[in-house]
Amino acid sequence: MQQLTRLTTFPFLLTTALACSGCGEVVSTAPRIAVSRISHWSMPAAGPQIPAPRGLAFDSNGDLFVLDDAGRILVFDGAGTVKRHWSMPESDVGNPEGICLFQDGRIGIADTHYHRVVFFDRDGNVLTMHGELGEQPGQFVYLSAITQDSLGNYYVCEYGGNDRVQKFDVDGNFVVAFGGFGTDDGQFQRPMGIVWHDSLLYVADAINNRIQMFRDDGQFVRVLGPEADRPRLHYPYDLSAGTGGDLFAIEYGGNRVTQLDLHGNTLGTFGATGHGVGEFSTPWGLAVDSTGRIVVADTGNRRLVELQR
Amino acid sequence: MTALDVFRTAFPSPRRPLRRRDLLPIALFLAIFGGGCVALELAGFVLFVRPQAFFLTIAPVWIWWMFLAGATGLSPARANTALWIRFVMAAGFIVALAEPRAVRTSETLSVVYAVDVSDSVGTAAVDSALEFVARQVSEKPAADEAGLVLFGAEAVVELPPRITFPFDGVVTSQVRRDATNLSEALSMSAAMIPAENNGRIVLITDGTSTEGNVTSRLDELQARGISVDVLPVNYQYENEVWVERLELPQQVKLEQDYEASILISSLGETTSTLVLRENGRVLAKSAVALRPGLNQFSLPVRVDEPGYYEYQAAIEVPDGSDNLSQNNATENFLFVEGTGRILIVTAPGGDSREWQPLAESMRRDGRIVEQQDAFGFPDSPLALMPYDSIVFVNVPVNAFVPAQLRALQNAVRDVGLGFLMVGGPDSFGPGGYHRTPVEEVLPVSMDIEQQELLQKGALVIILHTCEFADGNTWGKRITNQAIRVLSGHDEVGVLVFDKESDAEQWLFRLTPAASFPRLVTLVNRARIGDMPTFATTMEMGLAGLNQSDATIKRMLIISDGDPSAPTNQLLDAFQQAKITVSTVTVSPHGESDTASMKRIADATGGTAYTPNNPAELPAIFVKEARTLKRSMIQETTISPQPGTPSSLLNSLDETPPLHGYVLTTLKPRAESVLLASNLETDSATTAAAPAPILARWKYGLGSTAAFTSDLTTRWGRDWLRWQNFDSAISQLMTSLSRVRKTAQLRLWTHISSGEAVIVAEDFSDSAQRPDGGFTELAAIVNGPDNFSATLSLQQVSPQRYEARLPLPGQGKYQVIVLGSGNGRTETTTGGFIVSYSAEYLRFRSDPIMLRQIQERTGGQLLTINSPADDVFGDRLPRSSTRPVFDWLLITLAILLPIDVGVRRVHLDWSLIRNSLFRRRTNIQQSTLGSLLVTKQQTDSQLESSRSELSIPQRTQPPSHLTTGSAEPTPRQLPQKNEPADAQSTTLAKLLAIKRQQQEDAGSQPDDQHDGNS
Repeated sequence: MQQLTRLTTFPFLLTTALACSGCGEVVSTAPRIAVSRISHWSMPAAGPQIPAPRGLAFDSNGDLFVLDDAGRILVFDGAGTVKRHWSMPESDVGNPEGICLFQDGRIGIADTHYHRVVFFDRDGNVLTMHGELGEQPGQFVYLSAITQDSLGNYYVCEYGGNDRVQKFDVDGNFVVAFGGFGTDDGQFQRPMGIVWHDSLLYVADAINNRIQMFRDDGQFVRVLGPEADRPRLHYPYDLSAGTGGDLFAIEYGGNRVTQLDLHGNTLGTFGATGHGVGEFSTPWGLAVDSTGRIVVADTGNRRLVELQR
Repeated sequence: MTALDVFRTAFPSPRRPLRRRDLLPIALFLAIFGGGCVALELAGFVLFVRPQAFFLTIAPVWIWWMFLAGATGLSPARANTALWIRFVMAAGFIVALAEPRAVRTSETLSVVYAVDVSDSVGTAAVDSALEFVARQVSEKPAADEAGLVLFGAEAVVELPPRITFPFDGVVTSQVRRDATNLSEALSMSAAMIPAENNGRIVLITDGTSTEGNVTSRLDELQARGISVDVLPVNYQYENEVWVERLELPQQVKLEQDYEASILISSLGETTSTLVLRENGRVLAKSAVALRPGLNQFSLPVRVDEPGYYEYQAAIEVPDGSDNLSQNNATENFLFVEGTGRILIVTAPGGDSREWQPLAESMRRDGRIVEQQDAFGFPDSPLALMPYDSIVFVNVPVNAFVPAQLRALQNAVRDVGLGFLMVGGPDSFGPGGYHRTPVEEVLPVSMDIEQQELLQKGALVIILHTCEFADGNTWGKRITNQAIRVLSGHDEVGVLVFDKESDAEQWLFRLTPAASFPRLVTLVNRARIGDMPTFATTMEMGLAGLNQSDATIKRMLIISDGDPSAPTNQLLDAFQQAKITVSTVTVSPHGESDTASMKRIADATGGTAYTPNNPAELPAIFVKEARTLKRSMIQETTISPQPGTPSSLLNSLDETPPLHGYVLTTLKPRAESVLLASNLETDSATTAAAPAPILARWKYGLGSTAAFTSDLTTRWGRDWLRWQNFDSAISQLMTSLSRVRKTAQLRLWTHISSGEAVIVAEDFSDSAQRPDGGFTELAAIVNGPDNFSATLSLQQVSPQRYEARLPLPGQGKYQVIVLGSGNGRTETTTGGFIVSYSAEYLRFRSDPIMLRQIQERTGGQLLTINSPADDVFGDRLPRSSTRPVFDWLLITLAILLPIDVGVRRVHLDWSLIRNSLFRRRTNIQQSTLGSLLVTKQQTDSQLESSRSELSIPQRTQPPSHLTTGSAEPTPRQLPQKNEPADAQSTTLAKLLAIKRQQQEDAGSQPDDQHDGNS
């Protein structure tokens, strides 16, 4: 009888063993995000360099605005063809990391290594720049991401020891700063992505491997996800709101896209480490358009990956 | 046995006549098997290398026949299953013997761009070529692959062919650029192309090759179907000036005037300035007019003192009259032998008290002593010729470049110079000489036997990607140097953000540095990526160091400083664990990066380095690694005791005490003159021998010694006051100094037609006799980059011998000629200087070679504006095959137990069914109950069967004795006593068969008996 018991429990043990064989890494048991077609878009060369894409943003026409590490802003049409591009005013020291298309038509760029926000018009003309190196209100160390709320206020993430989020009104006046460097609730280690949704800010706290929620007045709400079952993220570098009240995160360390609901439950994942189709290498940014199409800045592979759903 | 008998044995008669439906299985099998194989081959999925193996299809036919002829005792369903399994197994064997290969057809094109980065092409052309590559790759079809190979004197893979091309526009590979090897470039590029893909090489070069055979490579490319498209780098210099040769007199006498002859070539007519320098000092400078062709000039030289004089003739050309600056100067040297000298080498900026007592003692002994810091120490053994001995006084290894240490090694080993290392805190192991040429030269090793006296060190290095030219190569090189410095029992681990797995990981965990060769290989293979934070690698390193039993623990981080800084909690953990973290900030993005790195170092008690150029990095790493080795310094008072009996110091009184020394280990063949035998630490309890204080041995032709204490007021103050100090130093230096012999063998060298010509002349009187000369002359040539060659000199005229060497790369070469025979052995030394590579004598591209490469491989000629379609355009599907033998073996291995199982194992499906549906308790009980009932029934059946069968067997006499009847024993007897339902069980069937066989066996003798009676 004992033998029989062992026989019937064997499949269970085998399944458990197989499931545990991946322990130690972030192993996803979430379903795969349904993708009907994967396309690769090449980055145009910049001199002898094949630049790496970083920040992405869609406009209402479906055009994709891309920041790359050659200090360029490129505009791709829906088919992946470059319509136009222009360069940052300066990029010798380093290149920008965050982009946001403002409701009034301006393009806001987090000019990371120049410690400022640069505003362009849609033709690539510089409108204004504000910010300088420092840790006071309105000053920045390294800017990493920028987003805007429905009232026109905008929020800028920064890192470099002064890891925080600053809120500015539509005219660029400082409103509030929140966060700080650390691992406690409300603190950040390299906040790399930010998205505003329904009066709440979702911040990709990259090195702490979590997404934190704040009210738009800077009040900490909570870490996204049930405490006992937080989404397992590995360096979330960017966030984008989906069309169905969901969130998409791109994981620099996990090399995948993770879809979450607003409670932090993982709805699906897509991607693996590598150079092939359906694989990513240190992806930096992502954007989701109004049709649910996802584009990933596959930074290490120097390409954009379009995921049609 | 006839063939017919064999056939009948192999194909026995069937049990029953064949019916048409009996043919169905074999016909079906043959149709499926044969049809399947033919279809696979015709469809191009599989290729059978040995189709003759299909004659073995007779085997399944035999299996089928045996199935019909034999009695399996299985139910029809199981028998048929077993037959089909055997069919499949037989088919598997036949297919395996036919050597099937899976055919894969690919339309993917792999293009390798091979870019010539040699100096003849020039940096501007290389930049244009890389832009061409980047533009083409960004326009290529997404599914095609592109790779990048760079070549000069050798070829290196910058990026292997992949569908992605992560090229930052900066070459990270290191390539020697003073030569061109087209052959290796093509070979390396072809090797990178996957066999299953269409392959193409885009060759971007001027076509001038200074090394290798291109023609043979073209045949290989043709055979593989790889075409080479050529993008020529065209140039033809109309103006070029180069210094061909500087000729100096072969023999000079002091204080006499001679002439240096300078040969200069020019493509055009121009005026220039000719400069002659002696040991870096301008000797003469004059304006000269150059005509097209060869121009000869003479300038006076005069030597007033013996020594080594290096001359350089340089031409200064007006702008626009020249293209290659590398060929504008050439060097030669004069060596005038005189009284031997001693060279004391000290640490740059070091304290003169370190070496002055020693130098003064030598001078009191009448010796000529020169002092020089390590930076000025020659990097060629040629410049060491004037010296009899070299003395290193407390100078660390990081003050030298490797070429200087190799020059010392060559001079000691091959020329016979003496060498002495005097100790101090920066000497021997703490000075970083572990695993260096100097350690090889010395009579002591830096691997310490007295491990209990040493504190074990552990070093973790975090390597972040270095964003400057050759940054990662630098990072790897200096990491290797840091590991080299460590003692064998010290531990070292390296952490990186791996570019392939995109994750922080140990390149290797804390490992004893004794595994140096293996660790170097791992470091060189590292793929260093851009880590977003220091925290993860620092946590991993902290955990590793906490697990180590080392006494001294350190961490070293090299980075541009832009990863996120660690938290204060993590830095506190380092403090609590007493682990210092030193940081090296290279090419930071801004001040905040430097500040972030400094914060880490300050918080943990480490040092923050911000080198201004990469050349400073090795010294930093070596310095950090050396801090782990401080425990090799023993600052304790000892009275040196004599070791092995030695002629050295034997006439002197007992030596005074020393107040410190550096731990070393005596090498097996070395002579231990003085030993540290009475340590305050009780070394008697240790199994290891006492550490050497003064040791000596022969290394090659030279003698070397190690004095592990110092001669300053720090450790050797009692020696400085010792009345026999001068005598001791005198005896020591006498025993080490090179012994100069008057040689009749003279050596000349010159460069001619791409060869170094070595000429030796024997001026001895005996050489004039027919049998009095040397019978054997050999030349050893040592040069840069560990170059070494041995040549045999051939006699070209009476007393004159000659050897020729194809010109090696740029550098200074030492030549030692050894003559032996007829009771004479003589040595003489000389050398030659190769001022520049043949690469700098190419003044136009070679379009003929490029056309040959393109035409023979079926490639095309590209221009700098050629679109990507020209390269990634048309291609044919390419088929490749790979063996599938392994899969067949696995299939057969799986089928074999199934075959046995089907025939031998009876499964109780009701039991399995019930267990799957989880009616475990009831089922188990009912199953157990049914088993018991079955057992009881079987037992009773067997008992009754035995009782019925045993009576006639036991009581009946043998039938042939009692009856003459031929009638068989009635068979229905046991059958009618069996339960009717038992007929259906396997057990009952088996019993019935057994009984039948017993009866048949019992009745047969009766038959025979009856037949014979």
